[in-house]
Amino acid sequence: MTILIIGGAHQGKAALSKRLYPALPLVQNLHERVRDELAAGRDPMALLEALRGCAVTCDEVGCGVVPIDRADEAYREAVGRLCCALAEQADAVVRVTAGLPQYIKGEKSCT
Amino acid sequence: MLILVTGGAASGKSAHAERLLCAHAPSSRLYLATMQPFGAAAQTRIARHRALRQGKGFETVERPTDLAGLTLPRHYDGILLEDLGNLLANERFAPEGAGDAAFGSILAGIAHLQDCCETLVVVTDEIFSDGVTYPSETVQYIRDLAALNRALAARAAAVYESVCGILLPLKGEKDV
Repeated sequence: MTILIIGGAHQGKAALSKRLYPALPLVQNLHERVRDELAAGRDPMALLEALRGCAVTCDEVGCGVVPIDRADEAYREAVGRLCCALAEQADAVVRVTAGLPQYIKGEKSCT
Repeated sequence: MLILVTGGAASGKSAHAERLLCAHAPSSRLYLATMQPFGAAAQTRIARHRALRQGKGFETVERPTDLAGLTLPRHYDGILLEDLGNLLANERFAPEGAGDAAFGSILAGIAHLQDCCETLVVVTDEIFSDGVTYPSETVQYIRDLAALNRALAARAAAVYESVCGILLPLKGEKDV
């Protein structure tokens, strides 16, 4: 089972993930992994395979003014594209606001 | 009919907007591109959107400003306007733009486009949540875009937000 948990920064995504999906390996802060991959000259989309079977948290970083810095813009774009791809293969996508989950894909598990 | 599709950067809103337009417009479809093709990033984005539209029977017109003054060759089943963020930037900051009159100019332009088609799909941007302090001209741009989004959402038959490629209905038809 693959779960994507998104939301603004500091909304309780990791805590929620641990509570709802304790059996799944947790990958926190995918947006930071994307930044690291870009800094190393690698394509962040290559992370996709390794995220199968995990609960993945990622900040929503695309809802601001287009950055002037090209690298910042590319980072934002890469996070968005990776999240679209991950959401497509995920069993559920949860958007977290103030610690509260909203299922935008899939059903809440009965655990 | 007016449909508004919003979303953050790289949230999959273009693909959904095209799909919605194709679902509502059986044959004649116009893609109205507002982006000015300056710089490598714009070129990449334009190429990506062209590839998305490939084979879907869209005519394409590029129009960076003054939608109200646009003369189209025919009446269309559907027009896809992409996107409001670029259009507003052009109107506010380009020499040939409407400047401080951008808001009214764009609303008039969209009313004109609605007269030219049965279904108008407008793509806009969610740019309001980065918490960054900007210079006053950027603040005014953000305010204008937010006001346009509110005005268009109020008159739209349906409004959606694309999040990670998932289309969330905010208003109107739920069957997507």
